[in-house]
Amino acid sequence: MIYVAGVRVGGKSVWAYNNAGVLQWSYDTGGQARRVLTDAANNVYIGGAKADNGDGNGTRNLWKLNSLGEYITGVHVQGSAQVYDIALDSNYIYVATAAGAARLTASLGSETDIVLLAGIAGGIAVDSDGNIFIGGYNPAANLYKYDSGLVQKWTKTPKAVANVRGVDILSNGNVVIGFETGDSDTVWCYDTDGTKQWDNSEAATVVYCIAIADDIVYVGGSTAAKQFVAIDADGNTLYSIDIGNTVWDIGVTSDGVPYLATNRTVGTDSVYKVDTDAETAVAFADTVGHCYGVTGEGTISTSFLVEKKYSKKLMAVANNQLWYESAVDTMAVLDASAVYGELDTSLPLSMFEAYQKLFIINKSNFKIADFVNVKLTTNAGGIGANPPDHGNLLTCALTGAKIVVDYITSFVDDAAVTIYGKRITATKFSSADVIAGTDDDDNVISITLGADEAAGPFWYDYTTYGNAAGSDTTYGALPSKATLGCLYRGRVVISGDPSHPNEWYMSRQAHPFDFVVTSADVQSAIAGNNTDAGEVGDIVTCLIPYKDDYLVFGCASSIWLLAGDPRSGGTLGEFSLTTGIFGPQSFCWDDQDNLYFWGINGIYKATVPGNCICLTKDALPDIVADEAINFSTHRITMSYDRQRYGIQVCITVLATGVNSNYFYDLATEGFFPESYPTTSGMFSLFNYDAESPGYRKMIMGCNDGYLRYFNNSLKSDNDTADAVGVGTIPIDSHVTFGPLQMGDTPAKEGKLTGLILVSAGGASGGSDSNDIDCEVFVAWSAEEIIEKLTAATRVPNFSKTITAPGRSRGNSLRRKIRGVYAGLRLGNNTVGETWGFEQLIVDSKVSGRLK
Amino acid sequence: MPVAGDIPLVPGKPVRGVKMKLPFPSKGIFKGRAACEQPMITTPDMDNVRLYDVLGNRARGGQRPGLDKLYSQRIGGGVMPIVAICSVTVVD
Repeated sequence: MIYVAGVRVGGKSVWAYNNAGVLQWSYDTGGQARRVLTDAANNVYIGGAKADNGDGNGTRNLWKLNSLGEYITGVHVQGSAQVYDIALDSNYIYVATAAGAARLTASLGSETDIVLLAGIAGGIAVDSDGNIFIGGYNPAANLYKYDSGLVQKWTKTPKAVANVRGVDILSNGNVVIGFETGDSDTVWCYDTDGTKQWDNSEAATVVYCIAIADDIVYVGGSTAAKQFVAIDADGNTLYSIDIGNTVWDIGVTSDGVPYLATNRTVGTDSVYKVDTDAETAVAFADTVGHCYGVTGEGTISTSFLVEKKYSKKLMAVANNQLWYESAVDTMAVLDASAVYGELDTSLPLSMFEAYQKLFIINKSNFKIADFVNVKLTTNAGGIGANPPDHGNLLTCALTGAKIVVDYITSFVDDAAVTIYGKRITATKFSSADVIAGTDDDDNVISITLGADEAAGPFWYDYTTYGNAAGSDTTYGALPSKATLGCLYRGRVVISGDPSHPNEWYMSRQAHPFDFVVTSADVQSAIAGNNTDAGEVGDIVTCLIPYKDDYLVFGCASSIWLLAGDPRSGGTLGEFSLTTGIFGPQSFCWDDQDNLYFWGINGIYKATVPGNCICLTKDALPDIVADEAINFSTHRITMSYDRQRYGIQVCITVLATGVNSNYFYDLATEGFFPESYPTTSGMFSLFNYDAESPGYRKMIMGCNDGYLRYFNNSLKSDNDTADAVGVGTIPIDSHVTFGPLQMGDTPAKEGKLTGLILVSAGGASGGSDSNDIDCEVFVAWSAEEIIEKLTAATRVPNFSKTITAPGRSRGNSLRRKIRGVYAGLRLGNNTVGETWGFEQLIVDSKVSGRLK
Repeated sequence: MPVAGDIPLVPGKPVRGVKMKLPFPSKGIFKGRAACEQPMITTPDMDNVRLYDVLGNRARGGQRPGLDKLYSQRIGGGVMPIVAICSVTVVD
């Protein structure tokens, strides 16, 4: 995007163009806009003449917009002075004005004067250490340097009569300035100590702006035929261009293309784009449309338009702490969650997303991580006589700021109360603001704030509305302890109360803080259990919502299905009375809406509504006994791997991370057992629809505290101490073939006379298999073959490492081995190696009757 | 999963005196029948292999992919398991 600021024309003074020069949006500051800059978040800062654009926010000379041109906030700095230049770093915004220079916080919330001048400040720049360089016209000096503590370091008066209008900084820290003067040497360079390094006279008359990119100094001004000049870092002229009009400002894109804001004359354009190779400039856009006359000065900057209107954040809990995705590639602790006693990960814990917040149910710890709301704190007058209800709109009449109330901590009117809500205006709330509205009963709400609004994320107790103290029952009561939670039909569903393990509790629809079950309306809260009349219900082990249509209650030895809404026409019935569901994470859905879960006899598949089928009853009939699973010592987690089209089933010993896992391939309906290092024992699985494509993966929460995924490029498993992308634990992989009956009946022996193994790869390009270890076994019975294949200490009749890749002289075996049955085992257990199977051909002959 | 061009050799019933092509056990592990009646394209024992290999993503069999860290940060800051994962979507 190219942003342009200039003289107000047609009720607009800021324009945003795409790279093709097509106008995307425009904005009215109410007067002349002089400078525009963007920050790393693509916010747009505009400085200019103090003006009121009639939006109700009063007069301002500094504005902050988002990248779509929507107003965020604005202020007027240094009285009514016009803003001539802006500079940014990660912490502050710096402005040069007709009265001097000032520094503000990035939110424009706090202003500090750097210097007040008798004349104007025309240019400002800040280096990487926070040193500030201010240029301008002042009887005392033309150039000032202040450190980050706003202590003046030196001043310079390079010319007796000169107005420094352009200031920018080279990569070595030297500052380059440009003069508005009649002298020829209009561009000077100082080192950080204020010693002059060089000057340049190419722009021989007047310079209005300096822009440095990749250590090339671009100079804009009104020197005849040389309104644009390029200079290298040592002061040597590279080239100049006759734009035909005065250049007021230069913005350089990240790929090094300068754009020029110029003094438009009749028949010309106001914005030009420089071709640095051809050393020419071409018209880019015209801000005046059909307007005639001169546009005056304008200024431009570059950024990218961000269309995204939402953000996703990954959440993970370990070691009694909640961590969240603070940036695309970074997980950070939510500090408040790490306070002792907030979470206890040694106890069962469920968490789910609802209403743009994270709800955590952890025995007696009910918590919310809030990423959407702002926090307001009332003054000592508390919430007032009429507390706001959930969803009420409150407005500050003075500033126009509005907030939709989500949760309040108390109903008291004699102490500070915290209000969490979604602010729906760009204007923020400040201390002493009076916010007002009407509650659900049309009572007038009036609250006075005791502090500026605070930005999240927030961490607070999940209670009923206004009940942070835990003693108010206006909105019902949550169970004192629970271990399960989910969102269904807009209701928060809680279960797993140790005192009532068969019960479940649902909040009011669209109000997760209302648990009044005695209300009669169809959206009100409700509680219940799953049982035939007169019986005590089964223990609820997991909650499985299916869209807003069904809620599956997994129980210890049964499964129940709620169809529809429990308050309005819903039905609750048995889904299965022959199996339950192991635990809170022992289920998943595939992309055909099939439910998979771990039940009494292993892994089941079900349609909802429908019937349950045990998938393992034929292939792995003893899986429950073989895995020796115990509720108190094991965790079973399941997830659908949408990239690999299969179901991941992980059985992990809680105390040690020892694990046994299965990948159920949906293409062949086959089970593929897997084992992982104990450090990577899976305790949680999650399919993350990340914003960044590189993070859209099935993510595994591991025993050592790291989030992992399956990386096709990694040939060994990543150890705790390994860096990202490095694996040092070999993958002990193998597959067996057999038992193969070598004679035409089991009464006859046969001979295995040869074997050819073709491994993956070998062609030009692509990836190649590493060598494959091959072991051959023979025996008189089939079961003996299996015993030999699976023995902890195997004794093959013959073994050989087959050379890979593809087919070569080294990948065949010529040896006669006699027996009734044969078995083959292929595998590899070497760090940094993997293998692929292409073809296995075995030669055999009938030998004779077994004697 | 029948494979085109296979000589119809299956575990348990070989053709006499010929080359036998043994396909990868694409239906995975199977322990539910008599050892001498191991079903076609199954195996009595395997570990850390999948049907789709990591070298060419072909349905031919091979070692499973390696486990790798997605983030360099250790959740919780210590050697403790990650007990739950979730995501939250927020309208900006």
